[in-house]
Amino acid sequence: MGTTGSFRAGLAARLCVGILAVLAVSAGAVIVAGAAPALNVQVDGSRAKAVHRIDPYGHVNPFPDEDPVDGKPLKPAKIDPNAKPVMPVSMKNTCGQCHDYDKIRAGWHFNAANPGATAGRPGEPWILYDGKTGTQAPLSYRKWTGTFRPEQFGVSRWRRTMWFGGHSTGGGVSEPDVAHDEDLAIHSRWTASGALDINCLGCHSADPKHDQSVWAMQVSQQNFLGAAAAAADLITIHGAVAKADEAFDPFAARDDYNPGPTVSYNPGRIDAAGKMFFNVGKPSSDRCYYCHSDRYVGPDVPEQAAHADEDVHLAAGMECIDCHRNEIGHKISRGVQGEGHETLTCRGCHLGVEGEGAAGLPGRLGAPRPKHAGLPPVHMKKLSCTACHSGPWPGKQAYRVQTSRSHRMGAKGVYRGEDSPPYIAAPVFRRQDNGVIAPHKMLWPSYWGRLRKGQVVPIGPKEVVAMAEYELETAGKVADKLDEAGRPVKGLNEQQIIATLKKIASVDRKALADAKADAKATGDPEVAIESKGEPVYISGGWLHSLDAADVLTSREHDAAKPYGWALAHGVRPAGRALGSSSSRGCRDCHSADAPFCFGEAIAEGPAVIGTPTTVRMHELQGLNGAYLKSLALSFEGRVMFKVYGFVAAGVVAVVLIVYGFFGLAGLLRRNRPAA
Amino acid sequence: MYQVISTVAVLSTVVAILIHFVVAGRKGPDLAGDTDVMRRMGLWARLVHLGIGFGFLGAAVTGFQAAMVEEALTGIWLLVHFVFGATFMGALAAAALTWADGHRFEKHDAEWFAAGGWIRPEAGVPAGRFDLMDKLFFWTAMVAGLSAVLPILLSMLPIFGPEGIAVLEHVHAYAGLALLLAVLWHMYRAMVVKSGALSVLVTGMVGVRWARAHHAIWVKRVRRDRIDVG
Repeated sequence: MGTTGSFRAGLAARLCVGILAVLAVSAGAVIVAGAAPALNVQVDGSRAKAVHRIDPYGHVNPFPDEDPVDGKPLKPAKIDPNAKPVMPVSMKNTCGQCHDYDKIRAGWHFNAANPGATAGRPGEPWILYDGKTGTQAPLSYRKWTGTFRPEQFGVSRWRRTMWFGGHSTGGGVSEPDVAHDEDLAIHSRWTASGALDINCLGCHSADPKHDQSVWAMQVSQQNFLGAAAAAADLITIHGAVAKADEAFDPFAARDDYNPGPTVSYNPGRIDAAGKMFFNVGKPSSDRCYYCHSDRYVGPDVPEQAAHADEDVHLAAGMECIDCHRNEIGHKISRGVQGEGHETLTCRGCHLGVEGEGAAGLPGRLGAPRPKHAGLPPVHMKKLSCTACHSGPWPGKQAYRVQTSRSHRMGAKGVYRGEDSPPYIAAPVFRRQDNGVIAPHKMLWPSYWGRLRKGQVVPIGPKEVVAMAEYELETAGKVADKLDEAGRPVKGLNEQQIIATLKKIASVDRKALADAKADAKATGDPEVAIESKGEPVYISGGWLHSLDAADVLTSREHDAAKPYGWALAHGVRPAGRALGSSSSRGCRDCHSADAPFCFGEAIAEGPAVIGTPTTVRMHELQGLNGAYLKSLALSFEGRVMFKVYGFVAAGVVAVVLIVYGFFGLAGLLRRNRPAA
Repeated sequence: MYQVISTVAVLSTVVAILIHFVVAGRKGPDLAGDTDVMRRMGLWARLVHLGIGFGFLGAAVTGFQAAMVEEALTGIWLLVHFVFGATFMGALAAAALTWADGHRFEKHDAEWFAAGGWIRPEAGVPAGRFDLMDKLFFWTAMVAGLSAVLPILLSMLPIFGPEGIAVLEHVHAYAGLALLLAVLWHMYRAMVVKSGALSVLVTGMVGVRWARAHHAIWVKRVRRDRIDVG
């Protein structure tokens, strides 16, 4: 073997040891990395509010100029108030250090556009309103029958964020995705604005200085990155991305080549250790109210609604989150039966849920158990709790209602009169898909479209303006009709609609001819080129179109049907429920003039053509009006019927008792021993 | 549950009727063509019987069609049920006042039963104006009728909640079932066992031979006292 062999054997051994050592260290690193603590674990169960004095982190560029060298996602940097540029604190990356952002974003407020998200019971849509084109359309990313996908009206994810973001939570479609073609559209300015991440403080801020109207204002100015922090009074934003060039880079230093808004931290917000105090806690009802308020307007609204009596639960000291709870996944309980969280529905708290053990016992949170004395059980099956207990006391006509999200309530600088559109009617008592009658808010859509093969394909407002702006602005006069109060009725008139329909038809014919000519010139077959369809205008519950003589005609169509979503608040006290003994009792609903059955809802819209559709409540409930009137008639004589019945029953009972005694006496006589 | 119980009960009653018919019902005396007649039911009694029969029939048809599918009675059928039910209620009270005295149990009822009057109609066992089976039907109808009517009246008062009213509706349904079974038996006896009784509902008269065959004691009393049934 000799010296050379010994040396080689030693070298081999050292190599083996070295390789094993490297492997061991690598394995250890993997083990250590895999053992990183899980996010958002409230391990100790303490109900005391956790004090959030934590490191603030900034945003990460969703559209970096270069891909990361190591292929890993960019990590957010800790906020340095002296850096250039000063970056606004990111809720996603700050809160996300401990709370699993990916789990949170799957929650109800954020998951509308997620492909696998459950649609759930139809809820309030985003309402696209454009007065110029007379458009009033319910939009939603969820598959709610009667709503439209935003892109059907040319509302991209960018435009949706811009137009509706002020009353949104951020997140969802407001977080651009390079894989999504819409986000790369030329009008989208994500590269300048950055993403509008979920604003955790929008709900979770306990700071009385938190102002969501600042959020709305900053969103309108495209200051997406700083909107959340500005609303929380953490920073001040100087300038607006909306005024900056499209090439503006919010992640690069500001100079002559990159002019744009700047950010400064308000005094005292970052302490000497570089930490920031976030005043967070359980969301108070005020946080919810910003997006979830409504008010009923009009001369016939009952006093309680006009002066906004609070929901009886809130007046009793409860908060929204006492019923509308969630875990980290933010699947907030909506109080709807069949969507989980059964113990947090009306029935769950007040009546209990079988099979849920102790959690299913009635009386949760001190909920009184209702007797519903004299109420036949069929009402509990055919009516929702809200039918009798919620919303304003129904009148002869459904009232006009304004909502936070539709009418930008709470946002400063927005004019909002009692007649401001969009036009939503409530309460409208209709039958839901599950067969239960419940009160709804209801909107009749108004929009331009093309009727093809029986279906109406919407035309977005921008496209309508591009085709027929002149006609919309100049045709005919603005309607000089007056309403009952003597005010001018605003809206598209018949001449404008006729002129616009004609213009759309003309544009379509030209486009079709051009397409066919192009196809012929290039040798492509023309057979695939078809007309887009007949131009129509949907409004007021009708489909309007031009006949052969260019006369405007109206007919019914499924596309003109209203969209409704159930209302649950404000809950009235028990003594003010429909049918409660303190009112007219059963005759609140079972009378010939009962609003519940015979009230009307008018299909209001942004156009003034002919007579809008008026629908009666019982038609929406699938009930026959003649039968309801007959039933109501029977209640007129109900007291007499009870008297008559008890007298008759009393006679029979007396006869039974008397002759029973006779029979007993006879038996006793027979069995008496002979004297 | 109600569907099963009511189906079994009705079928059992029908089977019992068929067995009785086979064993005894066909052996009744042939009383056709009797020209000597006497009054059995006056106008008032016939009207009461018409009211109670009409009311019960209408209420039974409308009520059972909902009960058998275990759905609440709603819609136009509810209104119809109420009309028939109201008729039945009033007629039941009138029937109680009209016939209670005549349906008192007497000594000859036990003798009629012991002599097999209930199973051997051809034997001509003497009975009063109403035989034992008639009397049993009457008091059963009174109890079941009251049990059907009273829960509904109580449900119209603000006393019971939905759960309590559901119990009352169950009592109403089962009482109605009991009444139906009793009525089936009553109709069988009237139309088959004592054939000839149906015409009395129209004319109020029965043949004397028929009366002697089925209600001999009553015939003696009427002839003795020259009572006008009225």
